[in-house]
Amino acid sequence: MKKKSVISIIVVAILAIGAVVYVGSNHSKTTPVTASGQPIKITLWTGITGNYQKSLQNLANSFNSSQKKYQVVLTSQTNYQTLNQKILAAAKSGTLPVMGMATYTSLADYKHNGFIQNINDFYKTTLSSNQKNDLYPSFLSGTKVGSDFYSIPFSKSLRIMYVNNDILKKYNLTVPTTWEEMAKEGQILKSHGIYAYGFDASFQSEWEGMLHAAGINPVSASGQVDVNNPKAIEAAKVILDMVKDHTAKSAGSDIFWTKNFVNGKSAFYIGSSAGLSITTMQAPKNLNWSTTQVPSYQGSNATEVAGNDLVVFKGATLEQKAGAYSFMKYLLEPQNTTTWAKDTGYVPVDQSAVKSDAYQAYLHTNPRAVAAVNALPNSFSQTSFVGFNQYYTMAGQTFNNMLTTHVSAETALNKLANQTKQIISNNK
Amino acid sequence: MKNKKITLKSTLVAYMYLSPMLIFTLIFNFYPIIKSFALSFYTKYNFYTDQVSAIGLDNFKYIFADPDFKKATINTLIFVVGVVPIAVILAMILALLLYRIKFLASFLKTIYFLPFVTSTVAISLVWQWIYNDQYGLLNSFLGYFNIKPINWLNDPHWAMFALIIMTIWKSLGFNIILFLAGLSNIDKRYDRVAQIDGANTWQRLRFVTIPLLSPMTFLITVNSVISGFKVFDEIYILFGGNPGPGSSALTLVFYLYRAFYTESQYGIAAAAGVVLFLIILAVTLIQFWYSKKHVHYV
Repeated sequence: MKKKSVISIIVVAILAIGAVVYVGSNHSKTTPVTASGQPIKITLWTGITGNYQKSLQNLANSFNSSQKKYQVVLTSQTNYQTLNQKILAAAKSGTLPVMGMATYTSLADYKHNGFIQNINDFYKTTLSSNQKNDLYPSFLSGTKVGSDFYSIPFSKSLRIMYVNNDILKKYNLTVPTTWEEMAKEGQILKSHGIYAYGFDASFQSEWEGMLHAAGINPVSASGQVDVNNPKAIEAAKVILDMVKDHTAKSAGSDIFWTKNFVNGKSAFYIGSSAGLSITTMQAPKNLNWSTTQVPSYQGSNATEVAGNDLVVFKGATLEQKAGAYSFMKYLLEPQNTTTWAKDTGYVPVDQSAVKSDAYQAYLHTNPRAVAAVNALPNSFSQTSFVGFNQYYTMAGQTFNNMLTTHVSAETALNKLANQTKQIISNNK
Repeated sequence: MKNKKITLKSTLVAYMYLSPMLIFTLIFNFYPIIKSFALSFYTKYNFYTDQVSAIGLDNFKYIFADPDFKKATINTLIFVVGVVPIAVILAMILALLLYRIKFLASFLKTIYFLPFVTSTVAISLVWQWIYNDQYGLLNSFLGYFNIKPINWLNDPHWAMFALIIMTIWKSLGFNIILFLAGLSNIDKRYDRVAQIDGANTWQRLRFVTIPLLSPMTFLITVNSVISGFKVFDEIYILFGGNPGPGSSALTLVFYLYRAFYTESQYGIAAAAGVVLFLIILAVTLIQFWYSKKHVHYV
C-alpha cells in the first residue's frame, strides 16, 4: 500500500508536469491570424552575425516599414552549424519558423524529410518572368529539386583566385590562366620555398570545377555516379601531383589558406569570394594582392557556387507563406540585392543589380570584387540529391585521405563511388 | 533523528524532497536514454514524424561492418589508454608536491586549475596555434634540439598524440584539486606512526599515503575513463570540425555526432551510442570489481 501510494504520487507529479509542458508549448505557438489588425509575423532564422545580420536586419526593417501587413522578425542562430541543428530540432518538435537560410545542396534532403514547401507559385505568380529571368541561371538552377522550386538564392559566393603580385613581380611571373601554367610556375617558385597554389583544407571545390569544365557531373539528379570517371580521377591527379611535387599545399587543420597567403607562402590561393573581407583584414598594408578567375581546365572555365538560399518551411500558413513571398520578392529587387552585396561582399544574385550604377560604383572602388562578378557567367551549382550531406561528408573524408594518408586518387574515388551508390540506393 | 522510525509519512516527505531532481532526471536523462535504445532498433524510420516502418538489428550490423566504426572504437581505446594513466599519475605527483610546499602553493594551485575553468574551445584554439607546423610554439621549441618541424595536426601519425598531450594538460587541474582534497583527508597520525616506526619518505608514500589515497585515485580514474570515452569537443575544435587527418582522431562520439547531424543516420547514431554506453558500463564495472580488492576505505 505504502509503495503504491508513493508510485501514484510520482506518476501524478510527472503527468502534471507533462500537462504543464504540453499546455505551455501549445500556448507558445504563433497564431497565424491578423487578429486586431496586428501584422502577421514572418519569422526568419539565419546563420549569420555581425555586419551580415545587421545588413539583413536593415533590409527587414525597411520591408516592415514599407507595408503594414507583415512583420519580418529575424533570429540569428549565430552560425550555420547551429542553424542546421536548430532546424533539425524544430522540425522534430514542430516549431519551425516561417523562413530560414539553407545551403542549396541541402534542399533535396530537406524536401525528402518534409521540412520545406515548394514555392513554384512564387516563381510563377509573385515574381514576374522578367525578374525570374534576371536571376543568374547558376543560382536559379540551385533553387530546384527536380523540376520544382524550393528556395530563392540569397547569400552567394564563388571560387576565385587570390594573387600575390609581389611574388609575381619578384620572380617575373604572370597570372596563370590554365592549370598547366599554374603547375609550370610552381616549378619556378618551388626552388624559392614558395608554393604556387595554396588551397583550403580540401581541393574538392576546385576538383568539382575541373569536372564541370570537363563535362562531368559527379552525381546527377537521376542518381548516376561519376565521381570515379577517368576524367574525374585525372582531375584529382593534377592537383595531387602538385601537392606531391611541393608546388601546392593544403591549409590542413587551419581550414583556410588565407593566413598562409597573406604571409607570402604561396603566389596563388583559390578560395571563396566570401573570404575577401577577411583577407583584406589580415593582409599587411604593404602586400600587393589582387583577385582573378580560377584557371581553366581542358579549355573551359567553371567555378562552383557556394552559399545559402532562403526557404519556406512546412507548417507556414497561407498568410505566412504570402508574407514570406512578399519579403523574398523584396529581397530580389535589384536595389536591395545591391545593398546586400555591397554590405556583405556576396555576389548579387540578379543581373540587373550587377549592371546597376550603384554596384558598378562599388566595383570601381573595390576592384578585388570584380573577379567573382566576372566568374558569374561560368558559374554552376552542384546537383542536390537525397543523401547529399552524407555524400559530402564522405567526399570530404575521401579528399582528406588523398592528402594525408596518400591514398591514390583512383582508389579513393572508386571507394567514394561505391559509398555514393550505397547512399543513393538507401534513400530510394 | 538517526533512530527515528521509518513511516509512510517520513518516506513521503523524503520522496517530496527528492522529486524535483528525480522528475528532471526522468525527463531529461532517463527518457532520452530509453528513446535512444529504442531508436537504435529502428531500421526504417522517419525521425521527424516518428513513424517506424521496420525494426531489427540492421543498425548494429551496419556499424559492426563499418570500417569507420572499427577505427573509431580503436582510436577511442588508444585515446583512453594514452590519457588516463598519465593524467592520473602526473596529477598525483603534482598534488603530492604541491601538498608539501608552502611557498606559492595557492598561486600554483590556481595556475594548475586554470585550464579546468577555461572553455575547451578556447584551450583547443590556443593549442591549435601551439601545434601549428609553421608558426607553432612547440615546433619552435623542438627546433632548439635540432628536431625537424612536426606537422602535428595534419600528419595522421602525430594527430592522436597531439590530442592526447592536450587532453592530459587540460585534465591536470581538476585532478590535482581532487588529489589535494584526498590528501588533506588523510589523518596525519598515520604518517607520524610510520615515521616513528622508522619508515623513510618513500616507504611512507608507498605504504601509507598511496593506499589511503586510493579511494580518490579510484574516483579520478573512473571519471577520467568515462570522460575519455566521451571525448569530442577537443577533436572538433583542434582539427577544425574534422576527425583529424585521415580520420586518425575519429572517436566513437565523433562518429555518433557525424552520423546524427551531418549524415541524418539517426538509427546508426543511436546504435553507436548504445555500443558506447555498453563499453563504458563494462569498463566501469571492471573498475568497480577491481576497486573492491585494491581500494582501501578508512
